[in-house]
Parts: sequence; C-alpha cells; structure tokens
Amino acid sequence: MGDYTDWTDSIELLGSEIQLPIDLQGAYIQLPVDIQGQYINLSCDIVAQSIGNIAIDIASQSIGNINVNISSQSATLNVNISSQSANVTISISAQNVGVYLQPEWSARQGTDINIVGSAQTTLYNGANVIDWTVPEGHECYINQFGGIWYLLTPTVSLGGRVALSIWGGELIAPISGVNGVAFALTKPIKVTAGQRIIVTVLGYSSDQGTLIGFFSGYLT
Amino acid sequence: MMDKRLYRLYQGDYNFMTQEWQSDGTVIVSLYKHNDDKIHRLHIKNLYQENEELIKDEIVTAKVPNHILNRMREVIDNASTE
Repeated sequence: MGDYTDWTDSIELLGSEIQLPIDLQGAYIQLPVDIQGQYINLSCDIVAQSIGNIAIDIASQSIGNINVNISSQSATLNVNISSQSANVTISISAQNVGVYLQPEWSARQGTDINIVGSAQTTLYNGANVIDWTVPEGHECYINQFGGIWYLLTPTVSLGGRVALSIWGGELIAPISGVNGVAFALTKPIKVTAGQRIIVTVLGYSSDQGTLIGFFSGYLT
Repeated sequence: MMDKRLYRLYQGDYNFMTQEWQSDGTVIVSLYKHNDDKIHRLHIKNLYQENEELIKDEIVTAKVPNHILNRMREVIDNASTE
C-alpha cells in the first residue's frame, strides 16, 4: 500500500504446550485492531479435540453499539451447530424489538413486488389480467393472490374463478367464489427468472364487467 | 434492439405494477416504487411477444395535493404549540 515498504512479521510459536495470555490492566486501555488492505482474509479457525468454552463477555455500564454490518450484493450468514445437544439462547431486553418474517421485511426493505391487472370482460368470459415474467437475476416468491369480477349487473353473477399459473401449463390454484377471492399463502410459491406468471380471472355472468386480479410477493 | 424505455420493465426496478388490458390487446403498464412520486406509464403492443412494441410512454407525477399537505403541517404545528 502507498509508498511504504512491505513489512511482514509473524508470531510463530511451536511447542508441546503454549500459553499466550494477554492480560491488560489499567485505568484506561485501548486495544485497537486496525486492519486495512485491498484484500483481507481474516479467518479464525479453532480446532481442538475438546473445546471448553468460547466466550465473548462484554460487560459495561454503558454500551454504545455492537454492530455487525454485512454489506454485500449477496451474503449468507450461516450459524451451524452440530451437537448431540445444544441450547441456543437469545436474550433480548429492549423496549422495542422488531423481528420480521421475510414478506414483511421485504416490504420494509423495498424488495416487495405487487402486481395488479385489469381487463373488460364479455359475456360468460374471462381474461388473462396479468402476464408477467420474473426479471433476469431475480427469484420471485408469491405469498398472496386473488381477484374480483365487477359486473355491471351483479345480480346475475353465477360465480367465477381466479387462476394463478406459472408458464408451462401448471395451474396452481383454481378457485371458486361469488364475486372475488384472495388467498394468503402460508408457504410462498417460488418462481425463477424467466418464468412467466399468468393470472386469469373468470366471471360467470350474462353481463359485461371488469375483471381484476393481483398477486404480491417479493424478489430476491 | 429493444427500446431503452422498456429496460425498467425487464430489470424489475419497481415495487408496483399495474396492467390495464385494452380491448385491442394492447396493455397500459404502470411502474412505480416506494418513496417515488414518478409513475412510469408504458403503452405496449404485444407485451412480452417477439414483436413487442412500445406505442407511448410518459412519466406521471403523483403528489399529495398541496391543500392536504398544508392541513397536515397545520395540525403538526398546532399540536406542538398546545
């Protein structure tokens, strides 16, 4: 980096038993660890036949912030616990804590997708009111869909149907109802990039009217 | 080459989309995002087909009317002085 000379220093300890305690006591202690580099690989590998305890104890009358910030286009944070018996305790004591499921979190993060389509219907007819293809580089998770058929003379409505289909002919859910229906899915439907989603609304009626369909979910 | 005004449609750069299917088979697509008062309206012929064609596009600004904003400010100002 810069015009400084390269510097390499290593601490290598080889022995049958090594102890390297760091004991700092003082009225005021600073132990900054400043790592700057164009490329950094910081790994902490702990390999032992037996691990007694790995503890990070932070005790203070006042703690400003403990931040774990992960900023990346894509990130995976895995916590893998492989043990015959494990206890995971997360104890949070705060006036306000927000824990969000993905659909709600996506809305807060602005990655939700909400699509509404409409068309006019003729006698005893229906229409594809949404024709949408998942953009390249994304996956779509649909967690609700539905539709209504608004007829000029509602009294002659004989029911209808909303169908959500993924391009390829697979009809996911034909639904019967009177003048409209909406479903919230407990398990979202995953649709990959390039796949086409069609929402069809049918209103069985001898009158003309408006068909409206929708689905919503989030993109990853 | 695709009309660049259609790029947003294929990028997925929106949170809301409406598709208004017309009797002639064309579709009026509106795209907008959270916290954005600009609605991109695209009138498209043969949506997603090989011969897809953009007939017209426009940016519509969707703002809260000034008289409503003024009322909101008045409520906040008065509440803070009471």
